[in-house]
Formats: sequence, C-alpha cells, structure tokens
Amino acid sequence: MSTAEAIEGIWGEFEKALDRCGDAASVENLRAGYLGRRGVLREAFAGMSGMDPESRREMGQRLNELRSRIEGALDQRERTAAPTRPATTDLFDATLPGIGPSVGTRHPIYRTMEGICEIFERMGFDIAYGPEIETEYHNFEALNIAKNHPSRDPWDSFYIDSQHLLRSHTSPVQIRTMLKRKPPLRVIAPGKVFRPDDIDASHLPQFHQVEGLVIEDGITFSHLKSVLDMWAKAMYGREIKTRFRPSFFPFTEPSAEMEISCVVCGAKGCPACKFTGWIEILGAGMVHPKVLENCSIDPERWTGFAFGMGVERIAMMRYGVRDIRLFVENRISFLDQF
Amino acid sequence: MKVPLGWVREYVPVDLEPKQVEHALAMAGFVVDAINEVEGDVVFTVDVASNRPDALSILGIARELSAVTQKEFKLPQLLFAEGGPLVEELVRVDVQDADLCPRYIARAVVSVKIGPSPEGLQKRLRAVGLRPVNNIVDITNYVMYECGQPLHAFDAKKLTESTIVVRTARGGEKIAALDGTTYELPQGALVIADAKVPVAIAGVMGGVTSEIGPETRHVIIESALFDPIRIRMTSKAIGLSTDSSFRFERQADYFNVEWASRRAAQLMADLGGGQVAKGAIDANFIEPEIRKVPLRIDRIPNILGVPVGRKRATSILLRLGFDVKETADGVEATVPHWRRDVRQEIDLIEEVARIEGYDSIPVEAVMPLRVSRPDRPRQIQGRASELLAACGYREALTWSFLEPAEAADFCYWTQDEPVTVKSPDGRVDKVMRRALVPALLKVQAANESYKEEDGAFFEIAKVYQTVKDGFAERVCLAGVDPRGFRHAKGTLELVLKRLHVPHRFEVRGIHSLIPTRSCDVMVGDRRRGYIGEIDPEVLRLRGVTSRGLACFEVDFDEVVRSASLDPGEVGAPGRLLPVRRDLAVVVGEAVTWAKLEETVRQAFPEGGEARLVKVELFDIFKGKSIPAGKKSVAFSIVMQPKERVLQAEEIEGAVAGIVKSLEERMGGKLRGPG
Repeated sequence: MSTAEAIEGIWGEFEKALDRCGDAASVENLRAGYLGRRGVLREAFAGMSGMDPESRREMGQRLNELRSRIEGALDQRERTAAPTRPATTDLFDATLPGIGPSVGTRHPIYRTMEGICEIFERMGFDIAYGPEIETEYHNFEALNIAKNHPSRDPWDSFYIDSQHLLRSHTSPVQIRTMLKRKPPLRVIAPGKVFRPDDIDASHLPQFHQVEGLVIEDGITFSHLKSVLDMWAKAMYGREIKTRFRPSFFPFTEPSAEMEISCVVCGAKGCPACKFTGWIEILGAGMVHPKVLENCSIDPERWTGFAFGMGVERIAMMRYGVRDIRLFVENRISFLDQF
Repeated sequence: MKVPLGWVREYVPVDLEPKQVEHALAMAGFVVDAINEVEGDVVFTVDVASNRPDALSILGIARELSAVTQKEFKLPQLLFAEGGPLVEELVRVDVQDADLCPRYIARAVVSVKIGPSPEGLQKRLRAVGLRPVNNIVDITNYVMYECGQPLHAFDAKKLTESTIVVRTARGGEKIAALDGTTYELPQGALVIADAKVPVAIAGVMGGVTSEIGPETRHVIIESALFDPIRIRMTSKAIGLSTDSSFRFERQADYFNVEWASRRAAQLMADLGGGQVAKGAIDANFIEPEIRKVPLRIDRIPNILGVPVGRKRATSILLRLGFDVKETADGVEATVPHWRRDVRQEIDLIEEVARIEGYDSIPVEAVMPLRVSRPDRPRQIQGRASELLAACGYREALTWSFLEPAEAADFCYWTQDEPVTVKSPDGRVDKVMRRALVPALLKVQAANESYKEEDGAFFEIAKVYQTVKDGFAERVCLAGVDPRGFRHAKGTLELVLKRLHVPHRFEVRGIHSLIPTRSCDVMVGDRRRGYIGEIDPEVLRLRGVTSRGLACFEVDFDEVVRSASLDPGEVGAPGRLLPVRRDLAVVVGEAVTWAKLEETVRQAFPEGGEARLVKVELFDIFKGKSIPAGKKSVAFSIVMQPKERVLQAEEIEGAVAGIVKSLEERMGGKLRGPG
C-alpha cells in the first residue's frame, strides 16, 4: 500500500464517519477519535517509526496535511451541527407567553396631530394656541368673513352669547398671533374646533385642526407651495406628489386646496380617491390683505400664507379608519392597536 | 351643480374630451364630483364655491371654460316683440321692505298655450336632474339653470285683486307649496302674497293657489332679488332647500334679474305661443355702482412668486368678462356685474393665477433657516402623556360638552356657573365641562358594556367656566383607574415626580369620592387637584359597574408652571454598600402609614455616620396571629453610610432606636425577628 493510498484510506473513513455525525457532541467525539491522544492520526504518526528516513519524511508531511484537512472539516461541521440536547430533562416551557408590563397608548388623533406639528417644527414653526371659547370678532370678523357668510349663521356655530362662540376653526389663532407678535412669523396652531354637525361616519361636532401661518419678507404663493409640498413629502413619503387647485376662503387670496397623489392606490385610481388619483389634504392661501390690515400689518410691506387641515381626516386616511366615531368611542380594543 | 356638456357648447365651442374638461374645471377652481352620461350627453356634477354664485349656471361655467380654453364665449341674443296690454294692467307690485327685496321685476306674457316643452328642452332639464312639468314652469327652471337667476311664474288670474305684495309673514300664516306640503311660515319669513294670502315662499317655493295649470292664460314672471340671510333663515326654519333658495342664499346678481326676466319672456313667447305684454314693473330699481379695480403688474410676482405679463393678464380678464384699460403701472379692470366677489387688486391677481394655473408656480422657493421656540407646555404634556401610557393608562379623547345633568359632579375647581352653549336646532342646550372625570367614567362604562373592563384611562384637555368678566379655560389632567386608589396614586406620583413637580397628598373628604379615601393633591402649597376612590352611588348613577374605581384630576396649567423636564443638579450614588433592615411592627388599625413613616424618620439619629435613604412599605397584614384591632406593618429601612463602613453596633443601635420610638409613640410591638 502506497503512502498516498494509506492517507486516502484514512480520509475516506473519516468522511464517512463525519457524515454520520448528527449533533455537536458526535462531532466532538469524532475529533477525539482522530486527533486525540489515542486517535487515528497519532497512531499513524507512531506507525512511522519503522520506516526509512525518506518515506518517513514523506509520510510525515502527508499526515500533517491530512491533519489540517480533518481539523478544517471538523471545525466547519461543528459550526453547522445541531446543538446538543442537554442530558437532563428541563420542563421549562419556552413557548409560554412573555410577561410584559401593562402599558397604555396615546390616542390616534393626538399622535397624528403631533406628527403633523413635528414636521413643521423642524421647519422652524413655533407652536401657538388660542382659546376654544372665541369672540365673533376673532372667529369671523377679523378673518374677513362677512356678516352674511353662511358659516356665521347661528345654526352653523355653537354660540354662547351674541359675541361668543366655540371656535369653528383654528384660524382665529392667526389673528391672535398677528395681534400679539409682529412679523416675521412662522407658527403652527393645533387645537379643538366645534361645529353643530349631526354625528355620522364622517362628521363629529367636535374635531381637531392644525393651522399654519407664515408672514415673512417676500413670501409668495411659491413659498406656500414649496413648504406644503415639503411637509407632504415628510408626512407621506418622498414619492408623493402634490397638486394645488383654486379654492375659496374669505381670509386668504389666492386660495388653494392641496391634494396629494393617492397613498392608497399610488394615484392609479381607487375608491379612496374616488378614482381621481388625488386626495384633498388641506386648504391654504395667501393671507388676505384685509386680514393683515385688521391686525395692523401693512400688506404692502408684508405678505404671507396660511393653511389649515383636519386632523381626523388625515388620521382616518393614515389608519384606514372608515368611521370617524371610532375616535371618540375610546374602545380599548380600538385604542390598543396603536 | 349639474352641467351638461352639450348645453355648455351652446355658448362656447369647447372641443375637449370629458376628462380634459374635468381637469380644466378643477384647475380653475371648480371640482367635478362626478361625470355621468344622461341621454347621450355628458353631465358634470360641479362643486361651486360659495363666493361664486355666478357659476351656479351653465353660462357661468361656459364663461370659465372660455377663459381656460381661450375659445370665444357667446351670450344668447334676446329678441322679442312686446304687444297687447301694459303689464301694469295685469298686475300691481308692492314691495314693502326694500332691504329684504332690493329688486323685483314683473313681466307678463299673455295668451299662452300650456303644453309640454319641446323635447330638447325637456332633455336638458332631465340632464340637470329636474322633472319637466309644462312649458311655462320648464322655462323658469331652464332660465334659472342657464343664467343662475331663480324665477317664478304666477297664473295672473289666480292672484286676488291682481296684486303682488312682497312682505314678511304674519304669525300663523300657512302656505300649501308646490311640493304638496303645507308649511307653517315662521314670523319674519319673506313671502310673496296677493291681496289676501301668501302665494309663494319668496325665493324658496311657489304655492298651489297661483300655480300654472292647463287653464292658465296669462303668466306673470317674477324675477327678483331677495336678502340671502332671510332666505337662508326661512329655508332652514321650514326645512326646505331648493335650487332657488340655494342660489338666493349665495346672492343673486342685480343685473341678471333683468336679463333673466327678458330671457324667460322671450322663451315663453317662442315656446308657449304667448305674447309678451308691454313693459315691465321694476320695483326698487337703483343703479348699483360699477366697480373699477386697478392691478399693478409688478404686484403679481410679489404675490405669486412668478411674473405674468400685462398682455397675458389682460387677455385672461377679458375672457372672464372684465373690461380692461391700460394704466401706467398695469391695468384697470371694470368688474362685470355678475362678479360681486371681485373687489380689490388681490382678487384680480387670484383670477390671473387661477386661469394661468397654479401648476405654473414653481415649488423651489426657499425660506431662511429658523429654529422654533421651545414649547414648554406641549413638551411637558407630551412627557406626562408618555409616562401615563407607560403606567398602563390609555389616552382618551372625549366630548368637551356634556348634558346638563352630567355636569354637576367632580367640579373641584369652581362652583361658578358652567358655560352653556346654545343649541342651534332647539334641542337641549349643552354645558361645557368643568371637569374631565365624568367623561372618563362614560368611557369606562362604555367599555364595560363590551366586557373590556381592565382599562385605566387618562385625558389632558380643557375645562371651562364662567368668570367675572367672561370665560376661563384651563387644561386639566384626569385619570380613572379600576385597579384602585393605590395604583392611581402611584401613577400620579410617578408622573409628578418625573416632571419634578413638588407635591404632596393631604387626606380630605371630597364630594363624589369616599370621604375617607380621598386626598387633595398639593402642588407647592396650593390645592391643585384631587385623588380618591369614587363613591359607589356616583358610579351606579353613571352606569359604571366595577367598584373600587379611583380617579384623579389636577390643574395641568399649574403642573406645567412648576414642572421641569430636567432634574437640575443631580447627586452621585453612594460608594459604600447600603444597609437594609426589614421590620414588622404590630400597631393599632387606625395608625396611618404617614404617621408611622414620620416616626421612623424622626427616630433615626441625625448627623450620624449614615443617612436614612428609604423607608419602604412592603406588607400590611391582619389575621389570626394578630390581635383584634391591630395590624402588622412590614417595611424596610435602608441606611446609606456616609464615609466609612458602619459598625454592627451602630446599625443595631439605629434600629433599636426606631423600634423604641414606635413602641413609645404608637404602642408598636416588634413582630418576630426583624
């Protein structure tokens, strides 16, 4: 038997034995059997003692190579072998449910409102607030909403007395901000608003809006589009497209409605966007010169834009909620999903 | 409003596909809600903004499309012959209140032959959603849709004393309207009456007594202007909204009153075979001012961010019906009578932007960098909300108003009158809440009814009250916790502690709570809220079934005032091992923990080698091995050595001192080995 044949014989036996190894423990046994103190290789090395120097050198070299191959094969097998089952019988059941603390949730409307505001804050907007019990002056008059405008009808607002009402939008915060602080201004006003709508799947008499106002040097409609487009991309993703079309609000001019490409269908057309590919998100416009004048701001010196959006609507879209009433029911099984 | 494309094409040769028309209208500010096909024509349902009553008409929409597509717009020619009697011989008009009816034109068409309208006209009416009746009635509807001016036709014979009186309704007057319903007219409603009774609810609907019927010979055409607010009020009060009232509410056009009257007369002559009587009664006619508005071309880029040239601006305004004259720095536009919404320069800039298209304005403007002001109240509210959520509380969102009966309890702040909100529809007035807990109890009850009973809830929201010269609002934080008093207290303590608010609890009986199980929440030295277990009777009345429910409510504005997100300067932990000893003492049942803890703290030697860092309760036990009237209180004390390891005698000495003091001051007996 030649030296090479002898080496291949040992290797062949080893490979067969390695194939039979099931888990890490049997690999370890095999390692001892071949590389250990009384192992196959040690014996082969010992068997060289009777050889002539020439053959001894050759055999020694080959055996060393073989040892490296075996070590490599064992190491690799060991890494992939199944872990060894412990000998003892531990009755611990790792499939039992985990024990977590009982944690509550933030309300989806407030989460959404925070999310909206947070993006504007990153763009340098301050937060502003106003009272929920407003004066007719702040809620309508100063906003250039004429006495005969339908929204001023006694049945379209919750009146408290002839001069006070629950604010029907967050826009009066614009007025309060302009009266209190001088431009440049960059503010966002989140809050509750009230309208005597009958409760149904898309109306509540109490809901939330986020209002924005920017009065700075040289602000144009182009800034309005740029800021709101940036906000929409931060809120809904970079691939979102925005579209602005003319609209009417007494306190802005030109006024616009901003739509985003439908997030449900990717603007292909679906029931959510009424097959138009677009979804209305907010109303906006350049602050009306009358409104600036009402706040003692010179409309020739300063221009600005304002915008407002409904938080419930945005939350409904975001979470696929089809009935707005879920937000005020406060059912645990609804809230715990957030 | 429904707009058939075929009808529009009568006035402007639009050659766009329906989808393109939809887009053109939307981008000019008229959103199309639906596109339908009706009898071979494409019908758009167009959403018209409340400032554009002129566009509640086919002509109005055609004018817009003319501006957008640059195609010529043509108004129908009004040509008809007058003859026969003078209109004054057929009817007398008496407008009693010129403010409520600023213009009233009556025309007459005699010897009409009542019959069905031509098929083409009927088709158009069906396309806009109207049911054809007869040629005369159909013409009034047709003209309303065509030009936006609502009209009414009376049978001249059926008007008592041939008289039309425009007046307000008297108490108790009723009218049988054309829809088959009899309406009781609210006082102040504007009516059209003959010498005796109302024959129409002005601007809303006609009555049956003067209805056009097969026997009608002479027709009086009413074309008038009514006060929008009064029309809206009447329409709301009787619960009837019509095409007519919808248009009057948004204000009809002074000049259009005349055009519509002529148009209807022309069509009645052509299609009804009648003869237009001579002249017209034009009650209250006053020449309204013609508005001229200057537009500086340089102002356009200041508002839009992009320039629009004088030529382009002029062309847009012309297409919309403005007269345009060049001036030194721009143009002067004469506002067409139907555009009452255009008053000043900015309105013209909007017109230009609208027709030019908002799409042409770039989205690359930059604004200066700016750091927003930190908003402490919101930051603290956010932190509090997160802490409460971490403590197992779910954030609720509830109504700011309550039924009056629900508003009485839990009003810790004030016995001042609540704010009452008038109900717009005559239902019961609502009361603005003075406390949040009642709403949270409703949430609890609602969840219980679905067998979801394990929820603790919190809300941070405003409460309201009347004050000497107006109203006050404040933000409150409230919670309810079915796990009971100690959980609620622990949660509130944790929140206040993490917000670094100096606070303590003082036992006091509080209304709606069990008197022995309620506390004032003191922030600094002032009462700023309460916490306690709710009186079972209160729970029962509010439909809450779980017992032992605890609640709290604190003035969050005050919390914010003394809160801090940062702890300020902090200390380093001790480097020497602390020493802990557990003790159990048997004391009288009435001994409070506060008293016991105070005794322990006072007994600990001050100025020694160790600080007492913790006195922590871990068990209270009553039972067989404890004498009646007594309880065993188990607690641990933790001493922190200051500079060196404590000697065993020092530790035992301190413990012995505590035990002795408990024995002397409250008769406490050490129970078993400590």
